[in-house]
Amino acid sequence: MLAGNKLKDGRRKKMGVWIKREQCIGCGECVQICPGDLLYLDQEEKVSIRSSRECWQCMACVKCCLFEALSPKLPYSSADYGGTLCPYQGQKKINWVSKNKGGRVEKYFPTKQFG
Amino acid sequence: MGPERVHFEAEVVIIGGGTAGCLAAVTIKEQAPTARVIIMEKADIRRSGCLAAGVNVIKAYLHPGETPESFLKDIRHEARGLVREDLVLSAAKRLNKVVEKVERWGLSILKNANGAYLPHGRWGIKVDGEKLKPLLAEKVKEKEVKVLNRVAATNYLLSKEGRVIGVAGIGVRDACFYIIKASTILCTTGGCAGLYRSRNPVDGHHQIWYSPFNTGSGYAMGIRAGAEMTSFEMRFIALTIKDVASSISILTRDCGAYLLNSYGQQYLTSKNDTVSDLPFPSCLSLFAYLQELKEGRGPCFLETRQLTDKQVRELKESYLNENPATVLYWVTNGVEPEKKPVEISSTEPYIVGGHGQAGYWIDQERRTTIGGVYACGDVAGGYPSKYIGGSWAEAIIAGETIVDQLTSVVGDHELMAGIFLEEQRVFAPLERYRRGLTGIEPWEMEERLQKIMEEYAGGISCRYELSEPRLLRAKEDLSQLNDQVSYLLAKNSHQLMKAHEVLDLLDVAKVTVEHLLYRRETRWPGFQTRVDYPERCDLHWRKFINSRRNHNGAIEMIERPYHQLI
Repeated sequence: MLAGNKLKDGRRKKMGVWIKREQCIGCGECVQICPGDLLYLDQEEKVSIRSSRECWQCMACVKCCLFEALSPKLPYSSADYGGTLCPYQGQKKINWVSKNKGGRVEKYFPTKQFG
Repeated sequence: MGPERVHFEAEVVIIGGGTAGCLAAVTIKEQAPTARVIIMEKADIRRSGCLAAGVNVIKAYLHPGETPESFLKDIRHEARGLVREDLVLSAAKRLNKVVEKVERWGLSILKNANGAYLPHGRWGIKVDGEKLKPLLAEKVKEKEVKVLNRVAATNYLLSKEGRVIGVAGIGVRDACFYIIKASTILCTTGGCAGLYRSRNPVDGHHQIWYSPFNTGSGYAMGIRAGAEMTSFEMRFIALTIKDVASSISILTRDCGAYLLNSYGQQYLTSKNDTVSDLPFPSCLSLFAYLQELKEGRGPCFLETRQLTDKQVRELKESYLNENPATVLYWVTNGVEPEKKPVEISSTEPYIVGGHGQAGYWIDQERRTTIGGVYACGDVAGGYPSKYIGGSWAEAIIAGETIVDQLTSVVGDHELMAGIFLEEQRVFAPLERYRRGLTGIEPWEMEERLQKIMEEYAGGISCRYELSEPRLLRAKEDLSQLNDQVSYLLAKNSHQLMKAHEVLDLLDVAKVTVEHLLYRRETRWPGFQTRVDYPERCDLHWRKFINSRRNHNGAIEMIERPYHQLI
């Protein structure tokens, strides 16, 4: 049902998160964690988001996905298309990588104690 | 055919597994290991409540030289002279111990070269709290607390005498009807977002400061059960980074960012050492910002051009621990805080007991006015600027009182009476859909409610201003909306949860409007600007405005005196 929203790079355009279906293995971790009960596995056992406007941007789903099938997406009304932010979650620490519209990459190591 | 019923019983049920609820659960199990404790949680306790994304600062902590008394004086200043001093003092005595306790569990607190906690302003400490919720959830598991994730509480079950004997709820995923028998219930459901229209349009509907999944269910259950509630007229409105609505605390306290209007003028100047993140009590800082806009000197900013590259990196890393959307917003829009001041804006109003002081009227042991029901954290009233540390301190107080007074679970017969009615009420929207009837979807009713509150009860578009004629109109429209409740539709269990969220919002909205009408002075400009009563009047109004819904559904107002202890 989302076919019309599929972008050339395989991502599906929905507010809240970008979903790369081919990278989703249907483990359901994100479905378990979403505080808004917004994610579900569809008939093909791939993650899908219920509501286009109810995501809080807490990124719990993005952080728990080991397969990088989810990436955060801000509402277009307040943020340009093109930038990305990706977490790399460890047992005790978390690192992040951002890329701006021009492709400039920046890495962050916010967990001071274990950094 | 009715829904499947799922039964549990426990000595203690904690409703809401946020930061307060988890801490209370562990406290109770530490002191009473054999007691059966259940956490009933609408989401999943590993990432639920206000701290789902994490946290980078914990307030409050009493640094060397501070005392519970000095802390109380500052909170009283922030709350414009009206605060439950007994509640603040009892919590303040425990603030440091509880932070040290959570540190022992694994919370990473930043320290200086001497090993002392790195201060964040006068009352805060800096933490790497991205994993705070998973950490608390792990501790809850270790203590063998039974966790019912994805079960949303809908109402207390009461005995004929009005004492609590259980709680009912819906399975958000399985559409089952949950009935938990217990004589002691601790409500830690948090505050209430969603009463007012979001500042951000359509796809940004939930791009808000407070957790949009905290929809006042604990308030609403208390209201429906006839609990006495306090201070719903003290709304909370935050000044935040525009669009992403993230906290400016790190900017103002750790980066020395000060407020600027569009003419580059520093419009509020003062030493920033209060519990507020801003130079003056939060409400007055908001009011000053609104004046700048009103008089044509907006938009307003936080000056950040003094930041070094290293500071900007630390700033971004700090946001990644609490509100990563801020960094994505800056990256995506090409915002560079070291080159251009960061624009701020005010949020939609919220009803909360952790920043404001709306909530259950409780005693020093955190008992509500309903027998057997306790409250702490954002859902408990009377103690503003409570934040995380205060919520934990309350959780310890409530937990210890509960352990002292553990009572046995009541018999089935007494419980059964209320169950059938509640089951019918709870599943009515699903039943309406199953019968093939048309009706109102939860989001439609939410929009209608938010429109009423926005236009007549002081939303963003009217600069949060309040006046009697408009509030009376809000009351009338809410009453009309109440008559529409039987048309609510839910196609599945998720929508059934949404339907109950909007029903809870409606009950909270009605009480909020009564409180806003009753206080005929302006105590908290910005939060509660009565344009028809613009002055603060300590002679008549330095007292608490409380309310209680009676058996006929009418909301009775009660005045309670303020007691100055320090």
